[in-house]
Amino acid sequence: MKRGYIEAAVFVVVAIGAFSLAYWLAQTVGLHPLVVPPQDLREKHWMVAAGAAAIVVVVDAFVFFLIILKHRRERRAKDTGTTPVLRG
Amino acid sequence: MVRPSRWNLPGVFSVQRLPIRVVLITAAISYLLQIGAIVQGYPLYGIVAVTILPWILVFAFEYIWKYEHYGFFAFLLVFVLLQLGHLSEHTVQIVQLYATGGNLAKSHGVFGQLDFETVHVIWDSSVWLGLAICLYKFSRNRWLYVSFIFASLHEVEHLYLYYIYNTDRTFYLMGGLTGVMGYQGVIGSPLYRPYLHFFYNFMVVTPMLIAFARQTEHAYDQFLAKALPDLSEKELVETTNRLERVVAQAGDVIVRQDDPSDRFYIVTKGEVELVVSSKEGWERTLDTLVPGRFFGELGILTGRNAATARAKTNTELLALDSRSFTELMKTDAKVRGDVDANMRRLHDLKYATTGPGPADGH
Repeated sequence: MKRGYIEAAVFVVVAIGAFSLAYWLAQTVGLHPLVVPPQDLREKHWMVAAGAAAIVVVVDAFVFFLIILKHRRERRAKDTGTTPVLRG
Repeated sequence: MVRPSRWNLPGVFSVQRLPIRVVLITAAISYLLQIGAIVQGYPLYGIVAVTILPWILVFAFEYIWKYEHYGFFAFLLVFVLLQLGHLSEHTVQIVQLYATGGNLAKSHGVFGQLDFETVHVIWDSSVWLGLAICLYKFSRNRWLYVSFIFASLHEVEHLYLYYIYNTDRTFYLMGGLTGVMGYQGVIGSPLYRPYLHFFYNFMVVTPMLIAFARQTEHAYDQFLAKALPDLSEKELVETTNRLERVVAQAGDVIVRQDDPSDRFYIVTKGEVELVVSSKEGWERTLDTLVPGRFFGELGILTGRNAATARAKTNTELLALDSRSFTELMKTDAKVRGDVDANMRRLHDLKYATTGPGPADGH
């Protein structure tokens, strides 16, 4: 349990550190040339972003569904003691 | 001649399959090529490419060995290494941005020729799907879920960018390349694209590394598990770290009958024949061992090898020192049972033999 907290702390520190560095560079160094899309064109493409998100959500859901099936299979095998438990 | 691997360091990180001289020669070639590329004035990507090139075969050979011994864990290992390489590329890019005052035209990482949307979407989709496979395989590893979620967010970004790059190039060039979360993007954030993607990759790689460290604690040699199936996972992992790789050419004697015994062997490749011989000069093959079978346990327990073990073909084995083996026998009754059964079988075969066999005696 203690180890889990340490890992979580490492992750949070690294995440904050990486974001801070990226933010600091964006503010101080910037990007040249900086080209930003016009507001009206940007809004036109929100459906594309939603479509991309939908594809990813469907695939992720399928992966989680397979994992649930796998865990259920493992649990059954453990209960009956007939098949070796899958490791992972 | 039977020779142990020179680099018998514990764990999955050591070079196991190739002798140390091959690794040193590869390092020397890589270094010379690097110097040559610098002297010839190659661009940065050329210098890095020729430096990496000689190592590809070494990594390929090692990967095959690790896959044979550690199964799917070897895939995770390679996956983590590749993703670390990818993060390095992004890190180089932001260093270049810093050095050039944010000049994007001069900041495309090491392999700048590959800095276009098709390559990005192929790479990031591979990372996303590869993580999905790892997650399915190691589904108890929580940190892989964290990494997978960030890889999914990153994937949304690249699917969006790839689509507009191919369908609306004008918008893409007018600033659409900033993407979904980039500065003034569809949702937007304070981060310009290169800095945002550096952050995305950090968020994928960091939990991946933690997940990898966790998974390493469950990695053990599959041949050990096959030979001694009653070992617990903890014992398998601990014992794996004490194993030493040994190779023998066809005809080599691995252990000789009646010699003092100090190691327990598991066959991992090729075949080993166990032979008993008498003072009268006859010799008989007791058994032929295939990968997953073991020998040497009787010798450790009695002090002398009960039979000669000879490589029938070019063979690879894992050896465990007698002390570790004895400890294992003391602590685990089930393992003692497995080993006892094998010893009894060999004992019966040996003492059922009263003279040369009809086929192989001479």
